[in-house]
This record gives sequence, C-alpha cells and structure tokens, in this order.
Amino acid sequence: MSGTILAIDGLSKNFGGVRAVQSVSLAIPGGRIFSVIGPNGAGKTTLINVLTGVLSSSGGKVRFEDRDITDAPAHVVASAGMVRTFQNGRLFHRLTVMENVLVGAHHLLPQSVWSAIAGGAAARMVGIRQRAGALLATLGLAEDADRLVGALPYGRQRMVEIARALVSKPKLLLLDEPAAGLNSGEVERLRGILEALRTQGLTLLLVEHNMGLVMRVADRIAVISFGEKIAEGSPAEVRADPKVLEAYLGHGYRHAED
Amino acid sequence: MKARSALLAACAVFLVALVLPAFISGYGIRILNLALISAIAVIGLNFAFGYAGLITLAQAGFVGCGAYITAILSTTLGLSPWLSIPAAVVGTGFIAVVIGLPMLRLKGHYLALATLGFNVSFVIVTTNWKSVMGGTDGISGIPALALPGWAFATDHRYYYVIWVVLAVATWCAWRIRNSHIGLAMIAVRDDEIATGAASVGVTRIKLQAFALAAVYAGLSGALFAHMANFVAPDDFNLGHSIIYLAMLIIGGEGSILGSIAGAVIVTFMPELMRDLGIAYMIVFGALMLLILIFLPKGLLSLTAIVGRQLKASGR
Repeated sequence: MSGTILAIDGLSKNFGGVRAVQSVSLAIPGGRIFSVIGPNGAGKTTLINVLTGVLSSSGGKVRFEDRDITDAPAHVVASAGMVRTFQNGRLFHRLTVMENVLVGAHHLLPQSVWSAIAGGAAARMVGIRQRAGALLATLGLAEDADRLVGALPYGRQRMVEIARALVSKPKLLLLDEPAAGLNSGEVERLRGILEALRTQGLTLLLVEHNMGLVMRVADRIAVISFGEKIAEGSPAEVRADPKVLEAYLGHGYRHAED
Repeated sequence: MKARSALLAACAVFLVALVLPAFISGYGIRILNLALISAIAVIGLNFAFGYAGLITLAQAGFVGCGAYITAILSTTLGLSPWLSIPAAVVGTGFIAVVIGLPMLRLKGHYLALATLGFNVSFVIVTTNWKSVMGGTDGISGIPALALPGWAFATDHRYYYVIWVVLAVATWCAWRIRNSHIGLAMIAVRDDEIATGAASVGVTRIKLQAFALAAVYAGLSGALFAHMANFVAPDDFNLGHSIIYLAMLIIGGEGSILGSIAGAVIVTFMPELMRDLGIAYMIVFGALMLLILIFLPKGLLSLTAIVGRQLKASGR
C-alpha cells in the first residue's frame, strides 16, 4: 500500500436539522479501489459533494496528499488531482463528445483570453486533443467524437463523463454510481475499465449501488448508513458484518431466517 | 466540416462587404456603418449571453463607456483618437471587471436586474455630471480618425476603418470560440456545477465572458463616437441594450456570424419600413415573435436548413 492519498477526518454536513453526514472519517489508500456503499439516502452523494467543493462542510477536515482541501472550490479540488463524475451524468449538451472531454483539461492550459487569441495554448491543445482521442478510443467512443453528446445513448454518455474526468490527469477518481442505468454488458465493460485504471496506478473512490460490481472490484469498502460510517473492511469482512446486514435489511432479518 | 463552411461564408461576406460602398449612396452608407458598429457590440454580447448564458442588460452602458472615454480624452485632453480608442477599450474592460466581480455572484434574472441598474445609472451619471460629461447636451466636436494628410471624415472612408476593425474582432471571437476558453464558457451555461468539477474556475470564466462583452462594446462605442463626432446619453439608454439583445436573438445566439447578421437586419429594418411610420413597431414585434417561435436559433439557422434542403434535392 502506497500510503493514504485522501484523509477524511470527522467530516459532517447538516441541512438545517438534518444531519446528512455525521463525523465520517476515512483513509483512502493510494492505488486501490475504495468503495463507499450504503442504503438509499445514507448520505453517500452528499459526502462526495462536500469532498469536491459542490457543498460546503459543516465540520471536519479533508486532506488530499499533503494539502488541506476542506471547502476548497470545485475547480481547485479538480486541479489538485481529485476529479469526480456525477450520479445522473452531467454533460454539456451544446458541445460535441470531443469538446465535452476537452473541457476537463482546462486547468492544464493557460487561463488568459489572450492565450486563446494569440495561440499560446494551441501547442498544448494538440497534445491534449491526442490524449482525449486515445481516451475516447479506449472507452469505445472513437466514432462518436464529433457528435453532439445528447445524441448518444445513456450508457455511452456515462463513458464520456469518465473520459472528461480522466483527461485532466487525476490522481484520484471519484465515481458516483457509475453503473446506475447500465445494462449487464455495460457493467462488465465498466468493471474492466476500473480494473485497468487501478493497474495504471490511479486511486478510485467508488460510490455504488451495484453490489455485484462493488464486491468484485473493491479492495476495501466502507458502509454508510444515516450519515454515519457503520463498518469498514475487505469485501468479505463487510459482507459478514451483522451491522451491515441490519442497515440493508432492517432489524427483523434474523427472525426471517429462523 | 461545419466550421470550415462557416469560415468560407465569413470570408465571402467580408469580401462582398469590401466593394459594397461603391454601390451605396450617402445615407445608406451611414446606416451600414451604424449596423457594423452595432455588430461589434453584438459579437461581444454573444460571449456573455450566447455562450456563457449571462443575461446582461448593460451592453448599451458599456458602449456608452467606450464612447464617453474616447470623447473626453480626444476633446478635453486633446489626445489623438489613435490613442483614445484603445484607452476606451481598456477602460471599459476595467469597468466591467470592477462591477462584474460583485455582480456575477448573482444569477439569472437577478443578474439581469443588476446589469439593468448599471445601464440606468450610466445614463443618470452622464446626464447630470455636466462639467465632465456635458449633461443632456452631450459632448460635441469629437475629432475624426485621421492619418497625416488623410482624414476618415466621410462615411465612405470611415466604412473601411469599421470593416477592418470588424474583421479583426470577428477573427478574435472565432479564435476564442474554438479555444478552451470558448468551450468553458459554453459549458458554464449548460451545467455550472459540472463545469467547476471539470477544473474550470467558474467565476473566472464568467468574468472573462462579461469583460469580453464589455471590451467589444467599448470598441463599438469608441468607433461610434468618432463617426458621429458627438455623443449624448440617449444613444446608450436601456432601450439600446434591449435592441442589442434583440439583434443577437434574431441573428442567432451562440453564433458569431449570426450576431453580425442580426445587427445588420435590425438596423436596416426600420429604414426599409419607413413608410409604416410608428406602425413599424408592430411589425418588428410580430417578426420577433415569429422568429422566437419558428426559428429559436435565429435567422442564421435558416441557412443551415436551406443547405440541407439543397443537399437532399441534389441527391
């Protein structure tokens, strides 16, 4: 294990009186697939939103590598190397597939308008375009590069989001339910992609409902219920934990077994 | 492919425009000059409204900033227009950054109201600050652009100045649209949260779009001041901001050529329908409504539709 890349310490998020995330602490090891699971409404997406600057926290600390990124704006988090995808797929519908992916590389280019007019960004853009093209090819989107993103079927749109995240050269990729709405063939393909990314040394934080996928790819799993972490361990440990079964199935499940 | 045909179309339009003055008489060329000057402001508005989705009603105010800055510098301070025009452009951009920083925290109709407030304030200040801005009398005696021994004093001569500036402004806009900056602006309007998550500084990119709109407006206003040789508050009131918006929507928001087309059409329409008198406003309103309903992407989308028809019948 190459040490902790993301350290979440006592992170909380309240919406008025609702405690959506309650003092959650996690240590995400580098180069592994770490999965966060939990029943609907457990606070998983809220947790990701707080981590990536979409929502502000109500307490706690987040350290990414050696940097405090608690409540940093979204683009600062992304530029630091922690990039996310969204649960319902959020793409730019007036842009083509290739253009959508290129937006993800924004922080790698000069930020001034003058660089666009004078062409100071052009040389670097060529390299980024090539990399984006290669990413699209590995994700099976090579022929779709110049199509408007809205013309793609749902499963491929999700792949565009992953490509947009990867083009920014992340160190940690946060995936919010990437398998939601995919058919079984597409889930298999996704599993292959996730494992390939891990092989390349990328750290993945996978929030997912699809237990089949999580149990097969995750190196370590944390379970969240009602905003609190109730268990953490290897897939086998988590599967056998009575607290986890209780959270998913409710109190009475033992009686049903008897 | 599509970008290339647009580029060819743009080149063709600019080449035709080069010989156009030979066929147009005195009053017509004045209107054409006004149309092309407006086109520069509308191309600017396209960054803020068409790409980044910022609903701004301050465009005429920024045009006014450019016009008044160059007017004051070239009359009271006696600066050469060759220096006062760039100063007006930079000054207007600076004003946009200063007011944009607080204003761009607002969204949607709140931003529309705040920018409207700026435009109204601009007219109030220019009307009442008599010692510097001349009040309702405005500022007169603004010199024409001149080279040694050659003044761009007639509308026919000035036309070529505007032509060159519009060509450069169009080229710059096209470069920006096709760069990562232009992509990020379009992304911001489509989904602000996803844009931030994709490593784009959302506040920064909005400010860039807003400032670009103002820089183009300032350039437009400065060119106007040196053509009319006179500026007064009435040319920059809120009504004009709405006309710029109408030009952009009629031509085709999100399109540079559409911006130019909209400016030309809306400027010439009242001239062509002069016989209708005040009833012109009814026709204008009805036309606007028809375009919004049947051509929501503006008149320029007609060319794409016609092109497709021709292609289909050719096969």
